[in-house]
Amino acid sequence: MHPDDDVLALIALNEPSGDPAVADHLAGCPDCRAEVDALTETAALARAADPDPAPPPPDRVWAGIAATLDLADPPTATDPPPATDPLLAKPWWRRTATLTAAASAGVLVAVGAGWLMGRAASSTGAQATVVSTADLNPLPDSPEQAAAGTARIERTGGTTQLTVDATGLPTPDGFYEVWLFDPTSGRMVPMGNLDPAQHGTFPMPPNLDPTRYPVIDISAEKYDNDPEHSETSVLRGQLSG
Amino acid sequence: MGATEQADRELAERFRAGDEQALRALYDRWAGVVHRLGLRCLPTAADAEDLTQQVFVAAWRSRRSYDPERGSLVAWLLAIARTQVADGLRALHRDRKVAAATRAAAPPAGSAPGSAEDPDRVADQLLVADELDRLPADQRRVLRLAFYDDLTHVQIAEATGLPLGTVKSHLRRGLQRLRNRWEVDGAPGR
Repeated sequence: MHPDDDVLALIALNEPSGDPAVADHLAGCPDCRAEVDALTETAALARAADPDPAPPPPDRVWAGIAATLDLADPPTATDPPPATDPLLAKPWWRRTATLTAAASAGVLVAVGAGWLMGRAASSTGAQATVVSTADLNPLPDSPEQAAAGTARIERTGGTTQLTVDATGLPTPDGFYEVWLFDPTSGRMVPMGNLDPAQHGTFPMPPNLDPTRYPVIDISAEKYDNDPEHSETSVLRGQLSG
Repeated sequence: MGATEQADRELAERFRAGDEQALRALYDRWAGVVHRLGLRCLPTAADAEDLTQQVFVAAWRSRRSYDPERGSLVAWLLAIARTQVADGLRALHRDRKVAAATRAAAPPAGSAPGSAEDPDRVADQLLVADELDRLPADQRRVLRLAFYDDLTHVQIAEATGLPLGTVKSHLRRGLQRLRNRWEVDGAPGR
């Protein structure tokens, strides 16, 4: 018989059971050991966290958010401006912005494509204006070196949409997700999934400035309940137009 | 569904619908958690503030991508924060490697400068701590005595005046709930 759940919880909290039968059972029961391990790990996470609730950041942080997003709600900035150490004046991810951009340029091989512009016009009618295009190529460490693709952003009337076509991607375990990516800040916007024909058309979110996301990235995602980028990029390319 | 879950769901709906008050509510509730992740993983306090600002700006701009079925709001915010921390530290790391290469010296081993702690691990800790704050008061009280005061269940019973059986059951239920939250919402790749 398995030990009581209370006993397993106490073991996970560093209170070993004095009952030798419990120790014997644990030695031979992977289920109970897994239970204790999971609870022990949970307790370790809680202990490693700060016991006090996280204090709010200074008001200037909200003021910055409200200003950036142009919120109607007037921010309340009461505390003094941040430290004026010139080294700290620039946000940390921008301190390396030039380098990051340069490194990205080394990865992004071909940029723009004349033939794509023609195809965009012929496939969507004359009223569609191509805003920007990108050739998508495998990253050097991608397992899918045979894959390739194109992306284009076009405006029709008042709407702007992104169209992505890929070839050579294997049938995935999960799915392929398309992202707008700003390599300077690391910001990403998920756009949607490629269909089985490796094609996708996505409306651009309103109020989003496409020039702030100069890179199109396609990631291989698993059904793992994790909404963020898997960090497995299969194709990527820089928009130009 | 408990009252807390119901309130969270309503907040998520308002947020997704573009209610600026909901963004402020999200900020009031979890800016401290995101900020603390930054303080523990980034080189300077100014970086942690920048991170907090970027995370909430990014959250607002991509609010329609939040799917309540896939996890809690705080887990989603922490996922955005972890990505930004990781990308930012990678950029710093690359910077250092390039600098080292120009000096014809090997880059020092280890992760990026200032990355005192692993963002995924810290995010999991913050997630568990956030859930601890949401436990029923008695469960929270006994677990805090166990975690942070290192009391045994007998000592907790003495300190609180609760019956021994009640203490044990609070410890088990509370710990189980923290574990569920971590397993559902924690950083992947453990």
